[in-house]
Amino acid sequence: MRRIVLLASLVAASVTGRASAEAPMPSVLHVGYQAPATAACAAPGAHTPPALAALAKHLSGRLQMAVQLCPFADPAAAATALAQGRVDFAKLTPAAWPAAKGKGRPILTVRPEGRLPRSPILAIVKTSVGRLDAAAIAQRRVIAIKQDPLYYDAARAAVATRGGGAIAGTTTPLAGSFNAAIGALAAGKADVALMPGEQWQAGCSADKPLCAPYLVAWQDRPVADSAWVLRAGLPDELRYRLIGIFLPLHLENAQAYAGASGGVKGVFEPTEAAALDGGTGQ
Amino acid sequence: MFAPFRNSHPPKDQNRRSYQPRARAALLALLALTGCGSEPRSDPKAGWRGEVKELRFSLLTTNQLTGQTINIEPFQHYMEKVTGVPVRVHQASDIYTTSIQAIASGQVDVALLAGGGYVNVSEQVGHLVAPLLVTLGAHGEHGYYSSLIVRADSPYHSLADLKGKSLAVVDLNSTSGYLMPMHAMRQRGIDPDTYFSNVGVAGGHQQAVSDVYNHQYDAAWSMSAHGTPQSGFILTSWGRMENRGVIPQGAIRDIWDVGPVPNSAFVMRTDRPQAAQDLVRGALAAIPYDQPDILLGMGMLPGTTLAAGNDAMFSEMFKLRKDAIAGQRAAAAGAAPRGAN
Repeated sequence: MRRIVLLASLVAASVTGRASAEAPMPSVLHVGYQAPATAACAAPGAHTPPALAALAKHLSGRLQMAVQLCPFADPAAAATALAQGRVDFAKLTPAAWPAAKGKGRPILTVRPEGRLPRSPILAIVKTSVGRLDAAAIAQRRVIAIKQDPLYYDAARAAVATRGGGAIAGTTTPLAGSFNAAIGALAAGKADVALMPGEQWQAGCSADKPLCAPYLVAWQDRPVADSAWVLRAGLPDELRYRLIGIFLPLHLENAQAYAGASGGVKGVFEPTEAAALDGGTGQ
Repeated sequence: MFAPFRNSHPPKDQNRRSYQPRARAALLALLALTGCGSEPRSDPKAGWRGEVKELRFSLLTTNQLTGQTINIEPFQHYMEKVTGVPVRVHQASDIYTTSIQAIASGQVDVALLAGGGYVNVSEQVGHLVAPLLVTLGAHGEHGYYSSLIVRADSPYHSLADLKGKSLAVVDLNSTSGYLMPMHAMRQRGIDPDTYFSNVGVAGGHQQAVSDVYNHQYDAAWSMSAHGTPQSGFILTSWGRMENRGVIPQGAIRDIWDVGPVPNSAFVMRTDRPQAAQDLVRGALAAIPYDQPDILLGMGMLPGTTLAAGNDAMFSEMFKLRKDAIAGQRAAAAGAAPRGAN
């Protein structure tokens, strides 16, 4: 019997070590959805909207676990439930997110048809200026490269949604080219040049000495309109598998996609952890 | 070890009584930790890991668009951490002889292939492979373009200006440097064999640019990426040469862009467990958001993302390949009688 106690203790210690590295997969995934009224989670039934039932069936089949659907009257109620561990996976908005921040991670968002991916935008300044937050950038003389959905609209949206809302009421002058934007900084005609990460990388690899007197003062993507948030404490593997299941959803199962997207035509794409952090000026 | 608890009779030996509570407590603790006796837990990862002992990737040594050498170590470490299985990365310098055959034969699970490479594999093994993810530029574009270029100081501004002039193509196996442009010209009613005075093979994208710059050909097909004809391109084969000082800035003019040619795709064997396919897709797609430096180390530009793909995205490529093979067969059939004579 001593040997049983010893063996049990050893196995228990081993299991504990593994559990601390990776939480076990849950047996049931509780998925939130917007409904007229908040109610308890339940397995899909006769009254479940067909698109949500299709989503639950698709997830259950792919994850090999039960899926329960949890109706919430609004994203704020879903955020509270997620923070309290009553729901595992729910769509939240930036306004609702503070109630769940630290208790979950945004992992997926819908990119509506015709919209650009949420690309990283950089703010380039002279090295003497140093780091800036979005609010400070909005107060400076900002220049963009060209009138383009990515180079202009998305660049300004990134600043505006991350705490530099003041930029929305201004018009950002256009430099015309990467070299002209850098030239405007050099000549003191502008304080900050906004551009996508790809442009800075390509422009500076073409001419490293040109970029040497400048630095990236800030970078971020525009805040997501909404994002599916996975509750903290669940295994990372679940996060990656959910991303792997949701990305092709529009190609594989149109009804389940409609249930997950709320009927928005588009595609799912992954998000960074700070996708819903508005106003932080990161 | 569970046998003692199957016995519902009280122990006869009083000494054993003192052990029983400790043993029971220890085993109950173990049962709780393993999930037995409480809410049932599924553990699908144990299932697929029983079948897939390691994941094998095939990547090229160099990014074909940017020319950057691919640093595989961060990628390998990331994938091992996320998937929990050993990851082996085979690096190939030749996409045709290595990557395509490696995934067609099942020697690797995932390969990063150009669009033409995927179509080649798919035609060999059918639905045993699928485009798990396609690379997407910052404008959301799924592909790159074939660009018809001339010297900037030449009088040529359109395809019409090039009638009777000489043309260089990249390689007869190149999608963007040969197959796509030939298809596009024929769609416009132009037979390249008779329209141009001479059509020659340059041997590479940058060689094609050099041939135009050095007056060996009046025009050439080459490649533009990360952008669209409307937005402009971040990467062009002649732009890379300008940046390196091989040709002067502004020496080349782009007069026609055709495409898009599908971007590279992570292609995976579909005979691997679905859970593994989902996990690999999710892990790869999360890289631009979780650890973008890994993609930069693979020669991809910031803002590159990975989106779900399917065969429909490659439909034009399937058609091009079918036409090319039919053309080769027709040429062979036409040549045979002459050879026989």
